[in-house]
Amino acid sequence: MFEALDMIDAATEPVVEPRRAGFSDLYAFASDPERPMAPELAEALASDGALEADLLRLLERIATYRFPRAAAASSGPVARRDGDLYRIALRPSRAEPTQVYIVIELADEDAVPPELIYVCRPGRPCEKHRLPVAHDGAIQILADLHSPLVEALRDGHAEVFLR
Amino acid sequence: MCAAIAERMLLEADKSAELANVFRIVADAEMEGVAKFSDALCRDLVRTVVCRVYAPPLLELCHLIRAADSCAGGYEAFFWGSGPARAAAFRSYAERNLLATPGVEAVKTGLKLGYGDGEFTVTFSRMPFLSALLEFLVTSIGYRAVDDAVASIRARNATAKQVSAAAKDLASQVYAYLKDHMSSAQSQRKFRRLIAFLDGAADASPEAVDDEIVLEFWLRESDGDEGADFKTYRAVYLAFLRFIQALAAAREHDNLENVRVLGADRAAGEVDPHELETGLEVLEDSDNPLGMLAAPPCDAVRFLTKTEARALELLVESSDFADRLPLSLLRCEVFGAAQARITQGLRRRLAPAEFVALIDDSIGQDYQSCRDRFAALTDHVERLLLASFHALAEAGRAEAITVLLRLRPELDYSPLAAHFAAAESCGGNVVPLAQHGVAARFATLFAATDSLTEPLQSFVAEAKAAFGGFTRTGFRDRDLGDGPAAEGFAGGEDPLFKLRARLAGFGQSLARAKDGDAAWRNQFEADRTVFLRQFHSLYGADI
Repeated sequence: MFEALDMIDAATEPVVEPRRAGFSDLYAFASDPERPMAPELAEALASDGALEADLLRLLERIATYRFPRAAAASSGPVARRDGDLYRIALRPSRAEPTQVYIVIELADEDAVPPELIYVCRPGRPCEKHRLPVAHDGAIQILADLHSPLVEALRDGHAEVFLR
Repeated sequence: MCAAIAERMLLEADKSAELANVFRIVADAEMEGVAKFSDALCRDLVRTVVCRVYAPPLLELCHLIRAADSCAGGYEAFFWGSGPARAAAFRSYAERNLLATPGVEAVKTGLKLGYGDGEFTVTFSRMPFLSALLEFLVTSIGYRAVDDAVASIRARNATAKQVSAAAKDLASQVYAYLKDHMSSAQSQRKFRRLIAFLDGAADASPEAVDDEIVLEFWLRESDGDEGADFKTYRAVYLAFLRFIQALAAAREHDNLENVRVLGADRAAGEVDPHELETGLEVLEDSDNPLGMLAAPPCDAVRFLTKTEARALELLVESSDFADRLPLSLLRCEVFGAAQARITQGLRRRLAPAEFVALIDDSIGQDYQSCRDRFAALTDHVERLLLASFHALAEAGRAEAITVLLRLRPELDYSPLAAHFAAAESCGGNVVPLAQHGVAARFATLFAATDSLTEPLQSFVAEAKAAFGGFTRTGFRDRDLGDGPAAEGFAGGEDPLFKLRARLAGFGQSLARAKDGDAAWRNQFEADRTVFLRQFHSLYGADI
């Protein structure tokens, strides 16, 4: 009886430490398009590989599409990802060399245009971006060459989801 | 202490710390900016896990996951997309999102699952706890492990056998997790040291534990090689509280001489975990009005803010131990809070000079201000009861009568008899009044106070003023009437009177312990010197 009471006290001891992120934060980030990644969640993901893997599983569950892993994972930056329903290509801007077009092509015109893209690199904060409306079967975003989203897409180890 | 023992102690401490961390993450979970789980739910969860009685609720949870997965968005959206874990939120979510699925049906009380050979209903009121249990699972063994375990029961034609198998799978994973992360070694060590201390002290049987013994134990044990267990005064206070509670419970069950382990082997004399849980429930809940006030139906009325509830927590937790050792509780409130500030300063890695200053300034209150706070809380509870009377009388609820009688037992109620007897008697025969009839008559009588005696008129006016003095949920004019707030006030009667009794008992103990303000001032000054010296001794080496 003493042991049980003592363990309950230890587990429920009031603490003044900052709030810790858990699966509720993970779900909120994954499911709410407007929800940015909270710093405490980014910190938890960076230090907890299991939580990071849980995020990928969750994204796999709620996303409409998961790209296959890039084939050239070990041979430099990735400029193109091909899936059976969507393709992503990074095309340099001719007008501005420091910028790049992210082009998401719908392989099938009947495919539902995605509204969100998630790009998750191991040990790095997962990038989530709202996508503009598709025109003529393609979605285009003009981004800085060194923006986190472009850098994440160029990483062959990154997992990419559309929703 | 040899290195091997020290290493084992550290490992054991790490194990417990990780599990405590999991519980904290669950308690910290937020939805829509508010806590996802109530404090009472979190405590229930901890008790369920620590007592290892999680197998039956895991089976319930698996049934619920099967039903929840029949909602749009799957079981994840049901548990994490439906707002704070409240019965009403789950009901509303299920009503809006349950898809037509064979074998899953929303009924008035919950979600009903049909299987070929029977059915199972998970009630809406049970869902908040099961949600907390699921949060614990995804935090401890991980979402992927849970998702894999329940994969088979998410199919439309899942059988009761598959649900049972999924629950067993989860139970075995929790068992394995706790084997690695829940250690009772630290608690056993603490118990042994309390016994050894009391054995070594002259005439220091458990019955003789007093304020000075608690302080002496902390001064001696907090600074030793094995001081981590008892470094804080609060930890020592709670250890003595639990020690005395456990001994009392053991004596009650006459099993003091037979220390037994938790398990399923009755032949080997192992303790049934459910028996232990029941014992803990009696200890924890028999006198825990705070939990009752925070739960339905009382939560329709904001009787206490979080700050007020927190200020009452230790007193309520301490039960009659606080009456026995009032000074220890004050020390815990005053110097325990100071020690928490110092610990926080340690984490902030302050410069040595800043840290020394922090220790010197850590004591933010004295016994007088602490006593004043309890006096203010006593007054607050009294006003809550008065306001409850007003709300209940306005709603025509019979509970108004008991609130009045319990608040003012000394008043002369005989003049009221005429109002009731004259109306209900028939041909000289005495007719027993139906409860609702009495309540309605009572409400009418107290609404127009002209026919009441002066003391009752004053009471009614006082109650009305008390109600108007609050600006919280449940206390607005639009809350009056026979709605959810009236249910809350009716449910709040008993816990509020328990709080009142606890505060009154503690106030009397304080009055008995010291004679007047000067005596308390002297006690505080003496204690301040002792605690500051010990704080410097404990933490001086850390900077």
